[in-house]
Amino acid sequence: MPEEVTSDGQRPLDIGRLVAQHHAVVYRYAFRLCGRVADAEDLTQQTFLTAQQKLDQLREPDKARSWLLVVARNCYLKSLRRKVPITATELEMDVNLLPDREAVPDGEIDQEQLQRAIDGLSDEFKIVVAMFYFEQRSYKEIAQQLDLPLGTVMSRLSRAKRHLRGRLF
Amino acid sequence: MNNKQLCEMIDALRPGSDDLNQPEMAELASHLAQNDQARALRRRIEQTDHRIADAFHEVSVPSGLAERLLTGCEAATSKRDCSPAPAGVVRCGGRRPFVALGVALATAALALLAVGVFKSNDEPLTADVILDSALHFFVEKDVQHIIGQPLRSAPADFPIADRDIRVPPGTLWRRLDALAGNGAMIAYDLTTRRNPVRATLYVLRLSVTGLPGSASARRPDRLTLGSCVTAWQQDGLVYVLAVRGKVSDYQQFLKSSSGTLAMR
Repeated sequence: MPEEVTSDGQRPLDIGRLVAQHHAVVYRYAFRLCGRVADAEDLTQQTFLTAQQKLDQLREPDKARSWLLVVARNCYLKSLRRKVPITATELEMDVNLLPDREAVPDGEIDQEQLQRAIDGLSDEFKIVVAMFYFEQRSYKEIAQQLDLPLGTVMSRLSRAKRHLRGRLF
Repeated sequence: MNNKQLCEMIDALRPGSDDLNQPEMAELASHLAQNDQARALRRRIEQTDHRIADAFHEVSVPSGLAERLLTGCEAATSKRDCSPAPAGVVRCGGRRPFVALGVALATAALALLAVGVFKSNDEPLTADVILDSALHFFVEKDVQHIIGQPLRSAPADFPIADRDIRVPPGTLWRRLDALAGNGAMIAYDLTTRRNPVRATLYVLRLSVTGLPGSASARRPDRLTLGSCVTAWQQDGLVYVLAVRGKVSDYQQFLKSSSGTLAMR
């Protein structure tokens, strides 16, 4: 009994393959957003359930990774809308937090410290910094996908990054 | 350009990218070209960006996550597709029609397995029912596959006919919930450190119409729900081998399992 193949000889995308190939990166992204193992696993499951329903929207299989990260991000944002809104924390621009040494100290970044620093960001800052560092989106892509002005994205990104730097270095 | 603007614009640049070439970055590009301190600041920020970006990805993934995700997705598919499929539409690798038909068959078969109503005077079970119900049981119900006891010798009521298989001592095995009539079942859990893919051999005392009298190692009889099963019967016992993964995983498992399960 032969396995299915498409007319160009490729195996068609199915959720099994997506899970096998991308579950780790989706989970890692979910964990950075949620900060807890159980919540991250829930978000990852929701991501693949959503992806399964919308698989026909993925036209280019080699873009599956970035597509799934977008799905994860949107699932996370939807879950935020269901929660009681909390006041955003204003991150003041403190010029003393500029990395003012010639060389940044070596050594691995402590993972717990990083996650605590991320958890210390309010959601609108957390999302832009996660898109920058994890999805490697440009400020323009972030602005377009979150439907925000460029200036707002650059401001939030800079403040969030300075917050992380202040706690990690 | 004040310090705040300078930092905001530098912070927006992805390391190693061409973001600086964007029109709104023209002023920054010019400033960097003329100002040593600004360039030094950019280098420092890039260094921290590289380290933070690397650290962002360093998250341990819980073991078994992929399996749980797939089970969740397949459960969602089963719920949506629980409607009669066209007759005869059962093919290896085509999941949706198969699952639709398989769910109808497996629902009845799982009920039989669960409450143990295999009776010698019932109509003989078919290969399709055994394969589908075993597959669903393996994927969705059999959650105790890690708590068996090490095998010393096969249970007296389930002597393993060794024409096709050999399950060595030390293999973890379980007697599943006692079933009424003649429907007892033994499970040998074949996952080992050397061969870590999840695999279970179920042995049932049944007579099934349409099962071959020996095992086929080349290809499984069923491939769906992210797992493969193959079944055969000998001397009044039905053997069902279930392996997590694709056909290649099934074949690799058998190839690697010569010490755990030898298919002759």
